Amino acid sequence: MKILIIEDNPQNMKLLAFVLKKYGHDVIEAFCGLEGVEKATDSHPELILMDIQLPDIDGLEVTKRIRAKEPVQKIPIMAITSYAMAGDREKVMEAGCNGYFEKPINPLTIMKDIEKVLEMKKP
Amino acid sequence: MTVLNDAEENNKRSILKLQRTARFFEALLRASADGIVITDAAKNIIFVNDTFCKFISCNRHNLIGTSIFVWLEKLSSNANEIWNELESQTKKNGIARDVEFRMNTDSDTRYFTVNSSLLEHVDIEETGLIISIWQDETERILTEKALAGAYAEKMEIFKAIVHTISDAVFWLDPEGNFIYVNESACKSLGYDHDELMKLKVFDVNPRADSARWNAVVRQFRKEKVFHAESIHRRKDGSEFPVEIVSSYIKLDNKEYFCGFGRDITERKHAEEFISRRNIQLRILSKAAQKINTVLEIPVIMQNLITSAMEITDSTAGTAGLIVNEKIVFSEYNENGKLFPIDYVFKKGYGVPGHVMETKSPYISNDARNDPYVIQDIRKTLCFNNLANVPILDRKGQMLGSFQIHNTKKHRQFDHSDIEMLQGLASSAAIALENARLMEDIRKVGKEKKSLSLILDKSLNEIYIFDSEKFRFTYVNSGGCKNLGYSLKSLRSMTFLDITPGYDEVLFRKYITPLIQHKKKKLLLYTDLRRANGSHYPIELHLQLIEQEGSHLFLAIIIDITERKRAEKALSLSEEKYRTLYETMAQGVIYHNESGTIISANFAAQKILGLSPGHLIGRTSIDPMWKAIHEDGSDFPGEKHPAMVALRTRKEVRNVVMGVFNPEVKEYRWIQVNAIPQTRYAETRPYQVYTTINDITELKRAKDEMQLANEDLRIINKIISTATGLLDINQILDTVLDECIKIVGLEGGTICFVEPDETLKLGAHRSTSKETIIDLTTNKIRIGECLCGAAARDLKPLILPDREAVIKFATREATRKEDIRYHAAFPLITRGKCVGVLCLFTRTDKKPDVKKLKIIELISSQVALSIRNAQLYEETKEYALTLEKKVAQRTKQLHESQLGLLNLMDDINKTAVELDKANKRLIELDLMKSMFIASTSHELRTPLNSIIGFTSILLEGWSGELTPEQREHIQIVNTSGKHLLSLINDVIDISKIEAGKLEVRVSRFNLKEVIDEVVSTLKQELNGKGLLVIIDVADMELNTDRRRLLQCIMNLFSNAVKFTEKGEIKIIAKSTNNEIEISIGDSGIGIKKEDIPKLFTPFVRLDSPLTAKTSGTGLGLYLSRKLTQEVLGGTINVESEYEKGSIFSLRIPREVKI
Repeated sequence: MKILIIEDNPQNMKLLAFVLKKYGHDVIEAFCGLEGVEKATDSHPELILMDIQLPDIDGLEVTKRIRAKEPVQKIPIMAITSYAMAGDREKVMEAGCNGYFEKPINPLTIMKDIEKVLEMKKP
Repeated sequence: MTVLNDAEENNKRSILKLQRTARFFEALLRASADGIVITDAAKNIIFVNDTFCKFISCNRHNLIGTSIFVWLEKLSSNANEIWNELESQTKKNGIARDVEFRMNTDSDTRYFTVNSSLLEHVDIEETGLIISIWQDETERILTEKALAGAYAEKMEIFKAIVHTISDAVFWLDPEGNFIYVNESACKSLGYDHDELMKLKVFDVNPRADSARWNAVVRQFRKEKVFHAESIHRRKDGSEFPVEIVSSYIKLDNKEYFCGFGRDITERKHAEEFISRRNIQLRILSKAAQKINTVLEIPVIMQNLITSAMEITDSTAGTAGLIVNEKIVFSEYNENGKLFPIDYVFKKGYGVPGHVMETKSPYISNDARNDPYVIQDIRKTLCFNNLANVPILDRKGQMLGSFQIHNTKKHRQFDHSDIEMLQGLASSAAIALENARLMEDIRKVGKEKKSLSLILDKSLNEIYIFDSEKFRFTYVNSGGCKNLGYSLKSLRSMTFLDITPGYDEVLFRKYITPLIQHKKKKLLLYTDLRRANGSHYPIELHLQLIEQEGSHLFLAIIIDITERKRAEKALSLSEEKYRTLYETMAQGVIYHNESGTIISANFAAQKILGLSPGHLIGRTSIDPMWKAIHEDGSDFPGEKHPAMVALRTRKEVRNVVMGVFNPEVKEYRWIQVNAIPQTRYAETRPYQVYTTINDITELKRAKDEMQLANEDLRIINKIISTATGLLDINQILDTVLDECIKIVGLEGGTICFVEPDETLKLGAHRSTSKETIIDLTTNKIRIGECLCGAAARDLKPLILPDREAVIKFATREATRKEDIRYHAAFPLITRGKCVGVLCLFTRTDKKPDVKKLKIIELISSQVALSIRNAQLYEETKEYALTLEKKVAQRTKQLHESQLGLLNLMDDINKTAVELDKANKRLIELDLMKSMFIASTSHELRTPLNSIIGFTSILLEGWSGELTPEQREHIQIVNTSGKHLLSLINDVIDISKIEAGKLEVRVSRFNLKEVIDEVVSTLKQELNGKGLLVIIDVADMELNTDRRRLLQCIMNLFSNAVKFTEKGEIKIIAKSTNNEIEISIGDSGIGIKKEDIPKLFTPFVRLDSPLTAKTSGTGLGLYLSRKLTQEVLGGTINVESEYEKGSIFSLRIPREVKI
């Protein structure tokens, strides 16, 4: 699978990329929101893993933008965040994300978790 | 047994019911004063009460069951028709009202008003029964008819009487329409009957309009009588004065105003004439004095002009003397100012010239168009009308003339003016003659002969006598002739011998002003006695002259016999007017032989202020008159002149009485003459007629004149003092002193009336100490004792002697005073008595009645002053009270304002504080959120890498690991995880403390959660060889799964941590709404004293395993917090040291948000 990771922290990016590649997926890296939106539209990934805290536009905005663009509307987006406030989850889901994970992620189980979420969302 | 069908049965039952009901009401209806009949559909009478039976004089038994028609027919011809009508109306509307029946019975006719209604019964709808109630209206109707008849009759009689009388009679309705007018009314106004009836009162009375008429109507309704002078306008527009007397009458509930109008044109003329006459006569006599007491000719002429102007009310005048057959006017008086003029007229030239020819007076009321008037002179002097009168001497020679002019609009000069002016002219003639005579005498000087020549020439009688003994020194021929004495005889007589009216004392008194040279000439009137004893009236002009060194009296005497005769003739004609007037004004009342009034003329009604209705039928004994004597004492009815005349059978004349006139609400004084009238050959009078004249004004004038100047002065003083003062005590003292002075007594008191109807002693003079104490401590009530009685009766109380005083004096102290005369005057203002003034004496002095009258006169003035002073006091007090109240309120307001201000201040301050606090809180809140967020993010991010990469390494995804490497990385991994859990706990606690912990409620299976917890710690369990027993039913919960997991995980991991061997039991028990999950272990247990410390943060118990185990010290604290805050439940612990512990978590199965 082609997976786009939007994450500004390089170490986190390295971790995620390593794990996903280990599972045999293709990984596209974007280190800020705008890059993320661009790469999403250009490369058309099958899954997007996105950190909410981004330096330019935050993940919610990114989600909205991606969801607004025709061809890439339907790509599942998983939000990863360390935000712990009430209402965060709701905001994220409202923006258009399909799932929500809290940091730190468990690299060993991440894929399974993602699949579970996607499964649940399947019509 | 007869069998009745249902319907009949029902009917019968219904009727029975009705009858029972009817019987029930019978008792009530029987007693009714109205007749009650109940008829059925077949018009049969099924019930009738006693009263109705009486009405138609029939027995009940005969009525019941029979048709009502039978009876109605007998009593009235159309009764059936009316009944049918009543029935149909009742059936249609349910009721019929006020249907009238007339019944002719054997004895009389009776009138009934019938009201009827349908009689319905609860069980039966239509019974067809009608109940009719018969009210006997006979009495009322007959009375009405009688009254109507009576009124109609009265009206006819009244009309017959008034139709022919000479006074105009009008009947008006409240709107002013004429309801009736008599012939005289039509004639006086110049309309015919039909014309006048179409008009309203406004059309004939130019002074009346709606508003005034309405005001009059209102007054009428109150006073019932109306009397006034007004003006009527005839059809041709001309107006004439009328006297109207009207009364208010109510007939048949309609209001009428009946008025008598009398044309008073003649009377008004007479009044005007007489009044003008009186004035003129007064002026004339004054003028005669003025003219005849001066000697200088110019002065005589001036006085003549001014008198002429005054008498005729003219603006200008002039007088001239004839010199050389021409009349010269050299002085002109215009409005009192003298101007020199120079007009000379000869015979035939101008008006004066014309008068010289005719020797009679000339009037021109239109000088502009008068042929005799010299127009140039007229334009210069600007006069509109003139009167010129010649001055003729005794011989008929013209001495001069005088003329009066008017420059402004003036009434026409008429013959009465001429009469007056001629009177002046003759005075002037005499004066001029005398003046000339004096001049001649002076010229002649000492020569006796010449003197006698001059004196003999005069037509007047001239006497000269000495100033000491009044002996005659010379009498002229005229005098001798008239007296009938010779000069020789006269020389031995004195002046007093021929003047019967003078004695020496009196004469000397008269001549004193001459002797003292205070006057130059005297004008006197007296009689002279002739030699034959007869008298004749004379006008005496007396002067002092000097002759040969001695003073003599010169008397010029004018025989005024003729003049007197003329005057008498004049006064006779005046008398004619006066009589007419007085007749019109004289009231005449006729009494029958018992003294009852049988008729009273219009004037009598007016004087007494009573309508015929009030007069006729009354006697003079009737207390209604409230008759009084002049001194105020009651005039008993038997003493009334009419009664006296009847008793004595003689005329009674000139009785003066006071009677109360209710129209003007005051006493009127009348002079009464009563003349009894007897028929031929009878002894007892059959009637008395009294004439009454209203002499109120006359009496009043007399009374007033009788008040001496001194009295007037005192009154004025009192009144001005009283009104000028506002201090009550001053008023009372001043008034009392003056009043005592006036009446000439020595004692007096003034009390004033308090609101509680007691009398408080004010000023007092010559009152004993005892009385003062008595009156002050025990105040007199209105009605009590002497002053109380006056206050009650509102009229003066005069007690003329000791006995009377004692009779009235209720107070012991007053009785002891030995008062012999006591007069108490109530002080009344505006109908209210404000005090009493008492004057008394212990001597035998009795005050003059007139003086008492003065006191009465001023009493109302004094009362007013007292009232004003009282009001002033009240006002002052009230003002003070008000001031105090205002000050108080202001103070209160001020205080509350201050309080308010302080409060406001505090509130503001607090608000500011609150504001600050709020802001701080918000900041704090924000800070907390930021702290949590940043802690969360910052702390977790690196851990992500630590745990993540170590996990990858441990998986071998980055390559093979040596066992040592593995061990080391494992340590890093575990530490990282430990740190993470710590951070999570801290963050959770922070969230809870900040109230920002999210709760996510979902439905989930409990067993799944338990399994998850257990499987998470599988490794440790296996490692320790512990057994896990799970006794959890398959049940659903609806709560926060994550947090529940967290708590169970915490408890389970503790159990695993602190158990070395044995088992851990997880049991889930559910009660109604709750679930209890207990985790029991066989671990080291907890000491009793340590249990409280369990749930406190950062406290780890000292135990052998402490070092071995890892823990944050937060676990239980957080778990309890989470359970309480999020899951809504509790965590409890039971433990036995070294035996084991059971932690139980109890929560509601359904969490309610």
